[in-house]
Amino acid sequence: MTIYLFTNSKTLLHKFELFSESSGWVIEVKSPKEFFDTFTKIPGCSFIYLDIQSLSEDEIESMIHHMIGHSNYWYGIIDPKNEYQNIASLFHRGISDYISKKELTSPLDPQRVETIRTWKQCFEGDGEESADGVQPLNIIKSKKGWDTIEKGKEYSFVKVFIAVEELLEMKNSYGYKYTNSLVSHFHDYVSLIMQQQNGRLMLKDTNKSLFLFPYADDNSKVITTAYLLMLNRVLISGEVLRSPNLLKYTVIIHLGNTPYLTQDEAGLAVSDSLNFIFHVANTIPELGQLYVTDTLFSDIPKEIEDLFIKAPQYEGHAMKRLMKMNF
Amino acid sequence: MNVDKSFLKLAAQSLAESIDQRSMVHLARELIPEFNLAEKVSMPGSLDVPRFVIAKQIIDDMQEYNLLIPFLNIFFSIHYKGYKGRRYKISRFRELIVALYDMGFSLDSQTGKLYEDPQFRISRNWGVLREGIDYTFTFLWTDVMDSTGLVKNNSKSSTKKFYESYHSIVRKTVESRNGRIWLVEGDGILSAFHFGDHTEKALYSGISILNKIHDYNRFENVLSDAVGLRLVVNSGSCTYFEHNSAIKETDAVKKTIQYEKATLPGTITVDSLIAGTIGGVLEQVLHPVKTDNALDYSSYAFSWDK
Repeated sequence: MTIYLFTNSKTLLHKFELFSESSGWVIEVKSPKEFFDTFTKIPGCSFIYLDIQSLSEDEIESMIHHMIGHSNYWYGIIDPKNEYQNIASLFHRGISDYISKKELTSPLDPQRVETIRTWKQCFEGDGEESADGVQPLNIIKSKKGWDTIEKGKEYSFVKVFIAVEELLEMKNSYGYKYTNSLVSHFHDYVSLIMQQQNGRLMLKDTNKSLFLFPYADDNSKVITTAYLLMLNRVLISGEVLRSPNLLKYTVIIHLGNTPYLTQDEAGLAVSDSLNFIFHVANTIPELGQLYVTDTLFSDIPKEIEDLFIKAPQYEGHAMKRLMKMNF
Repeated sequence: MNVDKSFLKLAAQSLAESIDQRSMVHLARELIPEFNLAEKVSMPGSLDVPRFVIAKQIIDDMQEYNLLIPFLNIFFSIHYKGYKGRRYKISRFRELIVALYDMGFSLDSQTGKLYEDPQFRISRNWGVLREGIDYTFTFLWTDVMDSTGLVKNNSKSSTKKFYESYHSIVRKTVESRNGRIWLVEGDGILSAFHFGDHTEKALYSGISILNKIHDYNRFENVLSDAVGLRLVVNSGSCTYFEHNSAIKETDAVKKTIQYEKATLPGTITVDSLIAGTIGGVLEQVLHPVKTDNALDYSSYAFSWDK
């Protein structure tokens, strides 16, 4: 069994001295700087331990985010200075081990790793969740959500794109004025919901809106909110908006880096992840559904994970789609 | 109900300025058939009793018999529905509505009737319905599937926790749409809707309850199995009673509960008469079901599909 240990500390290496080759253990030591380059070459179902003592907060988040997007490994975080604050969130996000200063006072017991192996299953070659040919995302986290986000600077945002579909058919049936008013009411309603969840409107077109949420350790709330928009389609269409027909809306959720610009300047934003989300919206074959890209698979709440099914890959990103609701 | 004297004066002024003496007395007799003006007002027979004096007497009597809000509803109906073929403009209407709002009553824009504002108080009769009078209601019946198994297969504390959540979901959903919980019989909950578009409100409540239970099963369920609900929406004329035993004996309520047997888990059964009058989004999601007996109905359910 191979353990890939990303560390610059020789002292730490000594803590793995009980993992002897004769017992079947191989320790591959790499510098954390080599993390992203090495990651693609690591065989599935290996152990990956990351020593975070020399890394910045943003670097740690980027690496952890990358890890949890690839579920076919066992991961451990080594924190020799007890600096990591939200330890519970690591386990919620699928990390299997956390080694603090206390555990490092003596050599690590191989039984610890064995226990993880029996406790948590690993499926080798879980290709479904791995992005194909997409550069790993370098997470740029704002320290205090919107409070510390500065205009013009780049941050990692969860982007929620929402578009009302079948606009032409609606205009033919109900007229331009009524349709525009209905779509505008829908936009206002969705904006209110997104704001309640800490989202901000970045772009708005006739029938499309794009909301930004600052990247957080746990982004599942955003996905749950979008899921509820789909679940409550009858209530939103009929009761809230008094629409004569069941509204059809597409929702795409994607994590990417974008410079933060206000709604007035957002048209000037240059960002691959923004382009990506609009490309998907313009060409996706099944409209009126909720899609999540592989950047956020690990944030799909476990409680509704079974409702998300594999959708066709798009520009190297694996996609999942919420099942359709039949009435 | 304690009412400020200034409001009683305002109501009397409005009544006096809006209709003539005879009509005022007729309106009063709709609630107090034995209302006799001569007995109430001591004026020499040769003199006309001023309108304001009659109006004040009527308003004071209505207040004394706790019939002020029902009387104002009758009074407002001469504006919304008309009286003896004629529609009346109500004087000081705006002032009255503002004062009533401060007292915790709102005006239903569809029916023109006053009802208590749920933000202030929630009572079984919306503060205005009177015992023994017929009204049109839409009923929503909610029932938990296999409650015997639920109790048998789960601990007492889990079962209790579930029922607290279930009752809270139904109550919040119904009351947020100005419905009232009338009857709670173990798993079965009967809600009534009377004001506004009460049929739509009952149907949307039912759909919302199903969605919330779906989420409860996924996010919060403490029980060994998923919970299934059966819901029924039925509409009809029914005499209002304060007591549950009398309410249960009314035909409309009996028929509502009777539909439960035909209802599949996770489904709302909707009486065919309601389904025939529903349009828009609700019409799109209701599907007619033909039966061998006379009990045809429509149903609502949703499922997830790849």
